[in-house]
This record gives sequence, C-alpha cells and structure tokens, in this order.
Amino acid sequence: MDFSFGYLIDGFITAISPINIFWAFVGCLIGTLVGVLPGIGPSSGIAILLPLTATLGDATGSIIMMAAIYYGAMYGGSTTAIMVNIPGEASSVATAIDGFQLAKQGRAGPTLAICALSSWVAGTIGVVGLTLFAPPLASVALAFGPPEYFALMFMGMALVIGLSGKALLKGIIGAGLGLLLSYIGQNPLTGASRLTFGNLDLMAGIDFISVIIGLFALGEVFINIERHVLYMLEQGKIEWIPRWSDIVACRWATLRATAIGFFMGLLPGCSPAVTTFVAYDVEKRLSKHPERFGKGAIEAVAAVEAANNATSSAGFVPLFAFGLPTGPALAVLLGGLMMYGLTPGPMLFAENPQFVWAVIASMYIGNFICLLLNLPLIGLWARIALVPFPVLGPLIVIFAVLGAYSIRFLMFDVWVALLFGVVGYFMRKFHFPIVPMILAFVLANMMETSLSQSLLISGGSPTIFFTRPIALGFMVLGFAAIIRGLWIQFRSRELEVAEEGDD
Amino acid sequence: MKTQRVADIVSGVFVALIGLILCIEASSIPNPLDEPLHPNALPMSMAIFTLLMGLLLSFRSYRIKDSTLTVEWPERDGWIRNGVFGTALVVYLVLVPIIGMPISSALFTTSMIWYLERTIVRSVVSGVTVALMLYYVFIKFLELPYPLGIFERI
Repeated sequence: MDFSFGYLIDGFITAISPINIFWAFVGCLIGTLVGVLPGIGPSSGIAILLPLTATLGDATGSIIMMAAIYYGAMYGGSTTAIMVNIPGEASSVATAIDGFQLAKQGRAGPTLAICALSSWVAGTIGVVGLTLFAPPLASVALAFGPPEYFALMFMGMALVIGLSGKALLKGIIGAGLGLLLSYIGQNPLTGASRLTFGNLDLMAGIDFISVIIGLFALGEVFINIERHVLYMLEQGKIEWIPRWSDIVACRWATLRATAIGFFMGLLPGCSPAVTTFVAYDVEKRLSKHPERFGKGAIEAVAAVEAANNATSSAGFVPLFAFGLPTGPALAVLLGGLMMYGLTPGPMLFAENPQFVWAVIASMYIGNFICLLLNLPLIGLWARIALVPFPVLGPLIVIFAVLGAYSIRFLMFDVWVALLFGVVGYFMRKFHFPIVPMILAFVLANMMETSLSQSLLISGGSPTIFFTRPIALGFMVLGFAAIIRGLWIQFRSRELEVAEEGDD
Repeated sequence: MKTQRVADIVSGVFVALIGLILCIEASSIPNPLDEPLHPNALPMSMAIFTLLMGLLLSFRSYRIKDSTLTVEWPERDGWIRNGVFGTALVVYLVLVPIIGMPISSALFTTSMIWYLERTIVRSVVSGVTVALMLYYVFIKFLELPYPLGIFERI
C-alpha cells in the first residue's frame, strides 16, 4: 500500500456521499447501543449485525457501516462502565476504575464528555497513522514473534505492582488467582482439559466478561444494598458539562495514551484490554498526584479511552496491509470483507484502491459522527445517577445477567458472574485489589501461547527471551519493575490494605 | 473476623487451600503430545505460587500484632438485606430456564424494588417495562436467543 493523496481525496468524495454518511451514522448509532450492552462487545455486535449490512446491497456502504459499528461499540462500552460500573468488555475495565468514582461524585457528564473527546482525538490520530504509515508500521509488527510477545506480556504483568497500591502481596495473590482462572478449560495448544475437576461446563473455560461483571457490577451492588444506599451519587450536585480545566488537564494524557494505544495496537493479539491498562499505569506513574488515580482522576479516563480507540484504529493497519486481524472484532470484520469478495492484503490496495480509501476516509467521518452522536446523549446517560438506587440496583443486576448470558448464551456464565459477585464483595471487605486479578486474566492466554510457541522454537531453552533484543528489553523492564516494587513493599511493616482507590 | 489482621490470616489460609487443591488437580493433567512445556507446568507452578503467597500473607499478617484496622461488616439489617437480595438472585437464576428470561426478570425486578423501597406502582411498572424491553428489543428485534422457558411454544 502506498499513500496517495489523490486516492484519499477520491475516498472522501465517496465517503461523504449522503448515503454513505447515512450508513456511517446508522452504524455508529447501532454500535454505540450494542457497546452499551455488557457481554455484547464489538465482535459480537458486528457478527449479529452482519446480516443487516448485507441488505444494503453495496459493498462499500456495508463495510463503512461495519467499521462504524466497531467504532461505535468502542464508544458505547465506556458508558455502562462509568455509569453503573459494568464494563461492557475487557477494554472498559480500566475506564470503570476511575469513571465510576467520578460518576458517584456527580461528574458523570464531564467524564462522558471527556471520554467522547479523547476517543475522537485518538481515533482520528489513529486513522491518520493508518493513512500515512501503514506499510512500515505493519512491518514493525511483523518483527514481533512469540518471544517478543511473551516478554511484552511479562512486562505487562509488572503493571500488577503499580495497580496493587499499598497491598502488593494481595495484588500478587489476585494476579496468581487470575492466571489460575484463565488456565481452567482447555490447553490452547494441545486441547487437553485442565483444572476442570471432570466438570463439562468448566471444559469450555471461564469467560473473562462474566468474571468482570461479577467482580465489578454485582460486587458493588451487594455493597450498596448492605449499606442501604439511596442514591449512587455521593453528593446531591450533578455536573453536566466538562470544565475547561478538565479538558486542559487531559490533553497530554490523551496524546500519550494515543501513542501507546496505536503502537501497541499494531501487534496482532494486543487487544485494547492490554493497552488500556498500560496507558492507565503510565499516566499514574507520570501524574503529579498518583494518589488520585482510582478515586476519580479524569485524566485516567481520558488516557484509557484514548488508548482504546487508538488501538482500534491501529488494528486496521495489519488488517489492510496483510489481512491479519489483531483481535476478534477485526476477525469478524475480515469475514465481512471476504463476504463481499474483498480479500485484505497487499493486493487489496492494488485491485480495489477506491474501496479501501473510501473505507479509510469513512473512518475519519465515522469518528466525528460518533462524537456528534455521543455528546448529546451525555445528558441522558448522566441522568442514570439520579435514579434511586433501590430501583437502579435491581436493574443493574438484570443488565449484568443479560450481559453474562449474552457471552455464550449459557446459564453457566451467569452463575460464574454471581459467584464472582460474592468474591468481589469479600475482596472489597478484606481490601484485596481487584484489578490485578483482571489484568492477569487478560494477559494469561497470550502469555501462555507465546511461551509455548517460544519454547517450541528454541527447543525448550528459555534463553530465547534474553537473546533477542526486543524481548530482552521488555524482560529487563519487567524484572526491574517487579524488583523495585517488591523492595518498596516489603520494607513496610503495615498490614496489606488496598485503599478504595486501588480498585 | 472483626479485625483486618484476622481477616488477612484467614484469607491467606483460604488462598493457600485453593492453591493446594489446584495443585493436586494440576498434577493429573496429561502431556499427550510430549510438549517441551508440559501442559501442567503453568497451572502447577501458579498453584504452588498461590499456595506460598497465601501462606506468606497469613504469616506476615500474624506477625503484625499492633494493627487496629477493622473489617467493615454490616449491621444486622445489612446482613438481612444482602441475604434476601442474594436469595432472590439465586431464585431468579433458577427460574430463568423454567419460565424464561423476560418473566423471571420482571418478577425479580418487581420484588426487589418493592423490598428495597416499598413502592408498589414503581416496582410493577419497572418489572413490566423490563419484561417488555427484553422480549421486544432483545428477543424479537435483535433475535438474541434468550430463554423463554415454558413460553417457548407460545
């Protein structure tokens, strides 16, 4: 793929035709609504709505709508994470950490607005990166093999140190349990069942979404029921629009997270779930007031949303350049492209340049449409905070049950969510940080797969992680973070207590 | 478990037990393809690690005897509310495959809103709205295969 200004202009001309703008609008709207539903993430949303796009009868319009659904779902997922502490998908977990606290403080409106703005900025910058730098960036992605992936995930595990706050040992325990949870089911390479105790339901593994729905949503509901909370709002006042100081405070966080999300998102398999946590941790380390993180730091939400959307845009780079989907949602998109007789890869640009550039141009427009669509809806979403909790609590549970069931349409996942609701309740009571468990769960599968593949390549020798430069760099960073964190923690003689903000 | 110290000791033991159980289960994982990384390597090592970390937490908490931190347990009313809510949730999930998602959700919503704030009108309206939304938006429009239970054939 070579960048061509002429093709891009032609693409814009195609994309801004009234009918294609309409399909982009419909896609953004439907994607946002789908994204709001927990359990039905972008991949499920695109899969469910694929037949709808097929009725359009026009490949360009259909793909524009599918891409818009993908973008819209990314926007929508953060709404429930902020308003009711139900992360709709893995990438919204980091949003929920500070977003929900901000909503309880009556700042849902500004938070949702900052989400929309940072998402738009990051998504647009990401599409610019896709437009101008796709071939060399895709080549960089190809330099990452299994050893580099494992080392990157290992470094990601070091984030547990920062995310555990004052309760490092508890955080490590949580991470260990998260890893063990991910091992339940079938070995990703051999297919052998493990840790299933002979139970058929467990052979399918435990889904991540049901765990986070339980830990976040149900656990929080139990706490609020116990305290007889009347309103989610901790104070009577509610803000509707962001302050200019909020926007200024978030500008660098947004740009940094965009860079992190975009470059990490180029790597196949590096999902927004990973990049959002990395961006969160980076912002916490760079912040002059890291103690605010977890208690309602709006720049944390801006960073997470920016990373999320930048990763989404970056995912199109290997998809278009090599036909390599970087995640489940893009894999479904790939299927959609092939359904219309279009095979992503180097030849796509040579054989169908008008189509490709029209889709790229529509991403600029789609991003803007998502922003225009979501800003007016902020008032509607923020009003959720005004609903009395005796009404809101049961509705959150219904939503959580729907979300858990929608993962695989199994009641087993709902029971898992309930179990982890109880686990989440006791974790809060005993001051165990929740996020390390989730982070470990997210990283575990890729860590294990890349570890197994690396050892196959090296004939069983672990030195492969230390003889390849990129992998070595990540391993050194990871070990340094772990050692430093352990040293600081074990010098302390206090009980391990995760503050409320460490969740 | 009134104090955080006792809670940490008990939690550590509980975590260690989980590690031990999973360690035993992991030992039975076979290696049919003779992989260089045995399929039980990671589960076993993490189970042992979790066992050790649990014991470490208990030991470390045991040694810190001067802490005054307490666990915020609820009052009696809070226990009752949580107990009723949890029981209702379990009943709800049991009923879903039997009478379907819309009806069971409506019953759960209505009963819990009434229990928490004793308003009949709001609870009934909310329950009916939930049922209608589930049926017409999720099941009919989005064609998601949510269970309808005994109403499947209607």
